[in-house]
Amino acid sequence: MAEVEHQQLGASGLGPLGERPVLTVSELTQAVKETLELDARFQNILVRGEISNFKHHTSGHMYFTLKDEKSRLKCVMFRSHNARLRFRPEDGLKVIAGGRLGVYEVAGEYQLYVEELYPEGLGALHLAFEQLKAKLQAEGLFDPARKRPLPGLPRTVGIVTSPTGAAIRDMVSVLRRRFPNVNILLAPAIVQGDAGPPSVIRALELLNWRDDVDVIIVGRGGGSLEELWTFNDEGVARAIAASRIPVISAVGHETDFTIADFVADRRAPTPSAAAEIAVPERAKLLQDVRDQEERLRLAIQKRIRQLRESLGYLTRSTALTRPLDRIHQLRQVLDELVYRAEATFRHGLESRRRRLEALAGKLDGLSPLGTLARGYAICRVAATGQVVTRASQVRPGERLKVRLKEGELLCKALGAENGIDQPSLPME
Amino acid sequence: MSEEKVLSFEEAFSRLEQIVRRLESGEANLDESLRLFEEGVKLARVCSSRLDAAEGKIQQLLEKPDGTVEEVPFELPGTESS
Repeated sequence: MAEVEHQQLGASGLGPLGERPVLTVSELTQAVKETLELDARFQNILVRGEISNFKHHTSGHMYFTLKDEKSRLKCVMFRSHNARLRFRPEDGLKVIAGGRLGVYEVAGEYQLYVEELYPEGLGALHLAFEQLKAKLQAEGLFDPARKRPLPGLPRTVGIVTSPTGAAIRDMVSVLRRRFPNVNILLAPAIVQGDAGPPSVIRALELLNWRDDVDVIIVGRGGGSLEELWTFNDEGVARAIAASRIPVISAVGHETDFTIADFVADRRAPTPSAAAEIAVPERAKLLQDVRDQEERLRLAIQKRIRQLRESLGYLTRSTALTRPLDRIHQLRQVLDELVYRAEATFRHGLESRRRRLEALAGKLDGLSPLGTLARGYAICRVAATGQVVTRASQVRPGERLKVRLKEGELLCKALGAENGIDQPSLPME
Repeated sequence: MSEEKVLSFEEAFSRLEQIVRRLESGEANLDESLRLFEEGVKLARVCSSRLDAAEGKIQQLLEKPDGTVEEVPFELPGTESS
């Protein structure tokens, strides 16, 4: 065909132009443009190909070439259309592009004006998810070293979720059950649709401005990938990463992973599970504290018993040179113990204090002062203070001090009555 | 006293456990035993007070058109049975 035309041209030669019209480049281009653009077959087409030479211009428009093994097709996707793309087109990506064919007169090129773009194979959302995940991972946002520890005992739990969904109900119920007096501060957010990301980002901001929030749960109940999309948004991921307060992500049911899950300090499979992670069981902690208190009490009681035993031993062993001094010293320690324990127990631990007092009472029974009360006396040499246990320790005429229950007598020895090496010294 | 202010529940509790172990070991002399006991009772009190610290409020933040943020009580929809 081409050959035939050529021959015809050759036959008529390059001679006189004759009656044939001469077009300008613009006129021809315009004619082609009209032909192409008025042809309904080219106005709503889908084309399969691989992206190459992808450029995202600063104007916001995207320029690329679609190619297959044999051909290339120039493509442009204006900002108004690509703004809603959920994935990033890139070289090598196999796509299906939808749009209309047109002519760019300036370059004399026909091109596809792309209005829709779909990745082949994976769904667009899925691809977008993988792309964002790879990007944030490369930035180190999922780095385990970035994860902050959660507070063991938060006073206030911040929650970012819908105020009307099942998620908030579940979380409040679990939080209250585990820790009835924990404070809950809800920053209400829209958790699906296009309004989701800015709303969640704002709610995170509001909680981060507070100084009383110890941990944040951000999430919603389960849904389709589309419904959970707010939590695969780059802005939301960055807001979670930037949060000053540790964040627990709680999106959907067990199997749904979102970008928010990767970037959060802790991922919970469901909102209820997040609430369990956020607060400990108060009743159990209280029991732990009481157990320790009980062990503390038993240990100190054992110590007091030991003290009492050694005191009893000392009381009986009058062979020691200054038994009273030693006993006084120990009594003083015990008094101090009772005093300090009383002060310690003043806060509602009355029964333990009474036990201590009872112990102190028993101690009194063992003290020599109790013996004195029963009519016994302690006799000491006035000059030396030595306790007199044998008549032979005293010479006639020596001064003695006799300790009674109340007061002391000053006496003089007259003689001994049953002395072996001394005559009897009746007292004066 | 000022020590009590900065101790978290976990810190106070773990110190309390240490003290109980030390006291139970019987290795502490009388004077140390007394000090440990006193500190232990104080720590148990710190622990309890930490557990009592929160007031059990449920609030929500509302952003008003003028840009101010208000904190108001939050009630779960459909739970006003009492």
